[in-house]
Amino acid sequence: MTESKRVDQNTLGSYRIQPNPRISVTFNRENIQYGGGDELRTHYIVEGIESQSISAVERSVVWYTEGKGEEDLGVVFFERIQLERRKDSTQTSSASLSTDHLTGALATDLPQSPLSYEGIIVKIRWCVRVRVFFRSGRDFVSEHIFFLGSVPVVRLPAKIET
Amino acid sequence: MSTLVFQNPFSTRFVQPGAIPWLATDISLRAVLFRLYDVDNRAIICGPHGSGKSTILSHLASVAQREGLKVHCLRIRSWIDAIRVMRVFATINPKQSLVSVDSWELLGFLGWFLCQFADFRGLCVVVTVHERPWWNNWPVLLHTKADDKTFRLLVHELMTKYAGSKTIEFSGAMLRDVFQRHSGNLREGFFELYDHYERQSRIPFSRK
Repeated sequence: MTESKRVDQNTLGSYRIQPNPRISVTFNRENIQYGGGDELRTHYIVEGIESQSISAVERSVVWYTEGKGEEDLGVVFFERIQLERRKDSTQTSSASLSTDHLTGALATDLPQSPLSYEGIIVKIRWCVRVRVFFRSGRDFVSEHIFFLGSVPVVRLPAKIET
Repeated sequence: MSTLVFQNPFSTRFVQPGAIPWLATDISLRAVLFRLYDVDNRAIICGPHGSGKSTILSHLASVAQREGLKVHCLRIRSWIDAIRVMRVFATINPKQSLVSVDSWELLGFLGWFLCQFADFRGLCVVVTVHERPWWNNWPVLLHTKADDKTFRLLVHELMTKYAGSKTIEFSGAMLRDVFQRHSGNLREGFFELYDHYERQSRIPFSRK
């Protein structure tokens, strides 16, 4: 299992009222490279926050475009786990979540396309996205990139490079 | 096979309204929301292209949501969207909702009708325009205008949070130059920096 590059985003970044969680995701392939039709299996851990402050966790496997234009997005796996608050203020656990530090796992078959692409104007990225919703209304997203296919990285044209 | 990721901090996903912070220090977003109540719940945010209108609208919507209001965010692309706006205006609860509408002036004369309807129902509405249209007499809540310092602060924040490479830096003089060349349009400035960043981050890789 291996951990990939991470992008964290706080949708209410200007109004932080509690610390951000640390979310780590491990993949079933050491080099985080997959082919079309392969099975993606991951395991994630949410740490650094009190578990009773969380109301829900969403986990998904998505691809998106990144660049100067508007973004496209495709979802191949999505699951929301609603956490209920107990009277003794401890967290109820769902089938794939433990209580001490929130952990979970997901598995899905990947499609044949679109392939990961690191272009200059546009890039296509695949990632496992874990979104944590707090009872305060805030949410926190953590993205963990992996690669579908093996399209070579675009190099700069020689005249631009010089 | 390569697992290189050239993450560019000036990509649309990081600089779009709502993703970047609103850095005005003279007034808080909550104060802006209260000012909206003071002016009878309907107002205009006015400013040139890329000056932060949509950004403040997005943050204002978040604050309103945290205050317990049900927020409806709409973006006008052509006058046909008047139907969508009308549907929202007609169905929401005026006491518990806020409607934010981006690019309001694209509605043309249909906007006048929607203004009258919003006034009649007593809705809470904030809209963005480049210049106040003649058919809209709602008060101006804010006049947005970007400055060189805000641009530099935002660039610094984007680079700190999202830059894949720690070796790329932009000098103050360069940022001033970019800002002035785009006449204070932050969006265009970020797009130019996107190209600079892309070029600089790929040079070491391309030489291999």
